[in-house]
Amino acid sequence: MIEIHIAKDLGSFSLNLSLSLQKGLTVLFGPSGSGKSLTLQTIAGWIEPDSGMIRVNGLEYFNKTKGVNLPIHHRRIGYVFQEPSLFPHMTVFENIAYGTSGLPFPQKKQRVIHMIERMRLRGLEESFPHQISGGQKQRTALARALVASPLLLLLDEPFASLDNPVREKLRLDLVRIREEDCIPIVFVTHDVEETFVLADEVIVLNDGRVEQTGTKEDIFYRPQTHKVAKFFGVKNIFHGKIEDIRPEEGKMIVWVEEKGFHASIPCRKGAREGEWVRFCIRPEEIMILKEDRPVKKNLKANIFTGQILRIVEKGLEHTLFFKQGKKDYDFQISITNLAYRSLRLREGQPVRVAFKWESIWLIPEEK
Amino acid sequence: MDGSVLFALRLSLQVATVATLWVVLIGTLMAFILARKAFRGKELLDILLTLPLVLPPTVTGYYLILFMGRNGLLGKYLFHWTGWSIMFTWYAAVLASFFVALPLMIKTMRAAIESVDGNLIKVSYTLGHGEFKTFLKVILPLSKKGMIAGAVLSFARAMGEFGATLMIAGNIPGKTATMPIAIYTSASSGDWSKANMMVIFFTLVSGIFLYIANKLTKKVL
Repeated sequence: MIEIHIAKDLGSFSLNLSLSLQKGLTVLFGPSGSGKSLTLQTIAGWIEPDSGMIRVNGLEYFNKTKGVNLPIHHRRIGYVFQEPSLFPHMTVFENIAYGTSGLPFPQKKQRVIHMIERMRLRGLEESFPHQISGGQKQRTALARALVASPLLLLLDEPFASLDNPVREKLRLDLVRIREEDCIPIVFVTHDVEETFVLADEVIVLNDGRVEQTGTKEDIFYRPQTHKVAKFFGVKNIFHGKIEDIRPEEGKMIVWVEEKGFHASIPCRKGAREGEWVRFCIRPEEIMILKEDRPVKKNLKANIFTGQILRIVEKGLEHTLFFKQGKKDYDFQISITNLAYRSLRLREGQPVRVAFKWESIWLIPEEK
Repeated sequence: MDGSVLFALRLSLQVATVATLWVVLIGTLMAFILARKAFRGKELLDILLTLPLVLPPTVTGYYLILFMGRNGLLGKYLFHWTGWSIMFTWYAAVLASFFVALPLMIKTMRAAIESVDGNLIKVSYTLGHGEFKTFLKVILPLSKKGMIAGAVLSFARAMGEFGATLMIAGNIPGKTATMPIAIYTSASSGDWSKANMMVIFFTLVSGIFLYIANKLTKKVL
């Protein structure tokens, strides 16, 4: 278990965090400049916090009050940067072996060979870093970080500069490492997809503070703040005034003035008429109604008539911009390519869209 | 060939070699400190060590007399305890060459150390290697280019040293007269044939040296 309570003031930016990480893979997610790399560097020991403490499995890395600041080379950390950072004057074998000093030679060799097998590096032992590909370099860097059996693996956007297919393979390698080795991994990224593939737990940082902590489902479907909703692509976020509460149906009617529509949303405990609420719906939860089919019951409460303003092709899916009135678009809708083709949509086409009121998530009041 | 010419050449090579060895050792250490450490007075140390590069060598030599002379700040203790003074010995020529060549080594080596990717140094620490081992196994091998370039420059500078050497080692034929000094003596006393011979010889030796240095640098890199 890793406990981190730190504060660091850098003038224009300040970091103030309190985290507790379990084993497994924790993704530190945030936009650039949110302090995620800084957090990692503070754990590694390159940056000294102004106050607080860092403890890993009971071993104190840093404790301001006790005056503890464990030197980096005693922290037993595996660190991988975005750039491979292999020692250019050493072969792949030597790079990996660099982390095994202190062990007797036969054991050292055995470990390195085992790691080379695990990281699919056989045949490259005698190659120098400039002779191998980006993915191989990053696998070597991972092997080098893991060979010393660190207490903690810190990965700072390790796959960000790799091509997509290579990145996907390396993600799978990492998933395998997470399952085989019982070490806590902290993974920094600003990639939503990567977060979804890898994370056991997600910590969302913004402006040096924790915005939300939770499982990836929590972060995706139950964002606790407007910012988290925005970071994870919720797209449709509204601010509305409660006009009618129907507790027996479990929903309430809100008026979204900025867009000019009413919506049925789930009831919030203790809500009163006239209050303002922020709610959101993911773009893939909005459906386009086919006029020749009956509308399902749970969709009836939220049906909107309007037209498709714009269509943007996004590779695996299409994003549609839907508007009702004369204003700018009201909803962003994501539909699969298959659905897109079967609906034969085009820009300017009048359509009806609907969503279940249960798909709506109410963002809790922000303090 | 005149015996004194050969002696002067041998002495020049000897002085330059010994001075370069010290320059590489001390220069690398200083370069590391200046490149990687933060401390009070760093700027001042940098300036002091670089001064011989811009001062006339006679001024550097004059300072060396002030420090190392028989009545100098350090020299007087040395003389008091051992009865020996460095003045007018070939060691003095080494000392002069050392201080004049040191800034060249420090500048080149510092640039080389500073250009080592900081992430590599950080990674080395996380892999359990402290500062000294990281220096030996990562920083030094990756600064090899700068080290060789610095050593070549320093050696060349030491070979050509004249002013500071003349100030503290003097011009004693067969004892402290290095090649550049012997050339000066011959030229100023009108011994043109000897001067010509030495100049040609010196030029040849330097040329050969540079050729070897170039080859070596290419091979290593």
